Amino acid sequence: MKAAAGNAFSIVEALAGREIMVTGFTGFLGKVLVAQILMDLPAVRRVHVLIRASRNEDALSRFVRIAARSPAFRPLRERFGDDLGAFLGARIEVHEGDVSEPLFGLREATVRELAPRLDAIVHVAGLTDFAPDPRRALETNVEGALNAADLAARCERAVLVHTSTCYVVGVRQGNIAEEVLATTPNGRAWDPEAEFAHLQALACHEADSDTQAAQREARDVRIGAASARAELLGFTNIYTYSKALAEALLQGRCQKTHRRRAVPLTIVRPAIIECAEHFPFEGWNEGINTTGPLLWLCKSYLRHFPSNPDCYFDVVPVDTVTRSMIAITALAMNGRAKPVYQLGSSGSNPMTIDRGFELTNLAIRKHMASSEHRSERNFKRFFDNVLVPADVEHAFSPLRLKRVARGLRSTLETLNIGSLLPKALKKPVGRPIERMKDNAELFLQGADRQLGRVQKLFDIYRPFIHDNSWTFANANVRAIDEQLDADSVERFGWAGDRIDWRKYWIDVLYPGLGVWCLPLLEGKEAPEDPAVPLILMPPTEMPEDAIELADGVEHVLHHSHVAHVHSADCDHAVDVTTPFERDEDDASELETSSTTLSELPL
Amino acid sequence: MRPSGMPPATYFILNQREFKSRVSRLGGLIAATGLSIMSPLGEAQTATRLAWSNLRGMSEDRLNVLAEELYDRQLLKQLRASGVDLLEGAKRDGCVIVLVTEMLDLAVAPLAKRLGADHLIANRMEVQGGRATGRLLDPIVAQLSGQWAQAFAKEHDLDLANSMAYGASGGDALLMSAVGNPCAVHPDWRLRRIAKDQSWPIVEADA
Repeated sequence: MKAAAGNAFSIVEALAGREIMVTGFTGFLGKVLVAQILMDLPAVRRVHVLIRASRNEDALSRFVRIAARSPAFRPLRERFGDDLGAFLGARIEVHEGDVSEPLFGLREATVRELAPRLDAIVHVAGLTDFAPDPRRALETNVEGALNAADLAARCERAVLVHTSTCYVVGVRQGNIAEEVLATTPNGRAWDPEAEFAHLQALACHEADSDTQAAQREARDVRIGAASARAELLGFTNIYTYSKALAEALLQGRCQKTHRRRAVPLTIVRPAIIECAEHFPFEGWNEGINTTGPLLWLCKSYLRHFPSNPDCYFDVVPVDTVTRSMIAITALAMNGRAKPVYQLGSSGSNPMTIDRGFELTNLAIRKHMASSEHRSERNFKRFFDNVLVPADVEHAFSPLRLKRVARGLRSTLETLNIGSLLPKALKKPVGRPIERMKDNAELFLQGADRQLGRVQKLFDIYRPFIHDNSWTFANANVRAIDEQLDADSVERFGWAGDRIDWRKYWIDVLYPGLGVWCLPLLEGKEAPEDPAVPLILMPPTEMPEDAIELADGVEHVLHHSHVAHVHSADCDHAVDVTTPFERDEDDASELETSSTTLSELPL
Repeated sequence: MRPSGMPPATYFILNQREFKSRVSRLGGLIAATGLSIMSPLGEAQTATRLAWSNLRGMSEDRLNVLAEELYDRQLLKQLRASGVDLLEGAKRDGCVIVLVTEMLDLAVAPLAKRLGADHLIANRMEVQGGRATGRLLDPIVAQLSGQWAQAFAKEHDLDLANSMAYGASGGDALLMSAVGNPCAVHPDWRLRRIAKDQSWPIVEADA
């Protein structure tokens, strides 16, 4: 249980027997984090997962469904087989709640029961739309973080590990230190509490009536106002604005007051979280993350991308983030964590935007060589993308092509084929031509719409790939390795410096997004694992020897069998054969701190 | 993608990132080819330098991927079972296999590994900041001379008189003439003429 002194800190020992609460479990990062804790740290006494009930399912059913079918849990299913339910029953406690509610909406009795048990709250839940309704951003990203701090304060010793994003930096340029600044990105002094009140006021704007159109209009007004506010303060979008506000507010809310204890706060800022490098398995991804839409565009016939080639594209694999988050949590619980950790690659293993696009070209070239479509094999794969300045309208820019499409369409509309042909030819010749004209108009209308969406997508991405150049310092996470013992470095050390971008991009990210992300962009479903029957046992107390054994998987399994025998009548069985339901309520937990574009204009 | 007889750099040049580079750099390649044809012996190194210089600015990633592609899609397909058997037999007999090529080492390293070559003599592209500078690193492999063969043999304690040399183009003639048992394999017109003049055995690809 005791952490070793000097540079021999053992993560396994530090977390043995501890109880950790994780929010945002249903999101990409949350799933991998919980699965990795369960996989690599079986001696953790309990992982408490906070899950919101969806319209059709309670929290426990959602958990069981994910454990039974999500690819994130594949390694656990493979390791434990039929015993997984018993293992999870002994390790997991599912709490139905909502991060946007005070104390996560947990009952007072539950809070009192958790208070002496929780060692850490890892707050992963977040709304990662770039331009969300500020009302939802406020509830999830800002109030959610404050509620996490409130719950941690109610606990006897829980530390708070808050997941933010590197991009809270806004329009500040250059080297970005691992600190929470007292000013806005553009250097204005700000009072976070006053800003919080301002955002609440913005989010209060209501529709004049209950009609759908009025509601949509009110929502657009709120988004417009919040976007303007974000821009005024130097943030790139509402998402980064809300995350930065949460960080700033937490600085004050975690302080000791006469009514509550001080909460040790550690902020983890991942950059762009993408496909797993190793865990749960190579290439896994979930949802529509940042790189997916760009890749999707790269695979089209669009070749010119408005980007700054020298900016860094700060991608980090999800398992690189989760292993470091586990290490940071262990350090935080032992009072050895730094206030802020930036989990990005640009500080020590940077990859430029230019290289990212080049690797995408090469990945397309390599993988389309065996495509079943002849056009892809023989033509499309040689169509490399090139970078162009955003402010210069080049020959094939979406806006120019859009104008051309509109011009052609209006020309076609004014064209009356019938009047140009003699009466005798109107039927045999005129009608087919009219039909062709109608088809051409429809095509041009579609092209106009699509090009508009592409331009909108470019506008959303512009701050990240064109306007700003950031290098996120990551000295803190790299320094963790110096404190850990060899085993911990191997399993939980910083892996960002070891990424071979060529291999990762071409052999991991591209095929991974092709399987797990691009189908979603095309309106299809991402594949799921075959359903396995999973019966979750209720939690029981673990024997002390199981806790003390750092790698005592067998011991834990034995204990789980005991639980299975004695608690069979309390089993929670869920039909996991039906596919996942992605209702709207999932959105706030669906993705975590990766800069996700869920409201994709495509 | 590479027309037969064109310099080895062609594949890389035709697959540059930008279309305009693909076209414009072909000009430099044609000049290099012309130089190579017009002054076959004296300017070989200059022609090779000129040909590969057209890769300047190409990313190291592309260089590697194209090299891998070239190996998989072209070099591997051009391997003939009889030739591989011949090399394997030589290897079994205790011969030291030396693979000499004007191609970039990135493309032929897997081939050398597959053939079990003990030494790979190939051109190496200078890379700075993740991009090819277009300069070849010394020593440049272009129509290696008999003196080079003798120096190499001395350095590695090889008996040139009892060695075998297999070549396919006129540029290989000098090197082959320094070795005891030269053999032209599916030779180009220039090597074929030299082989006939020197009474070297000629092996046709289809044979």
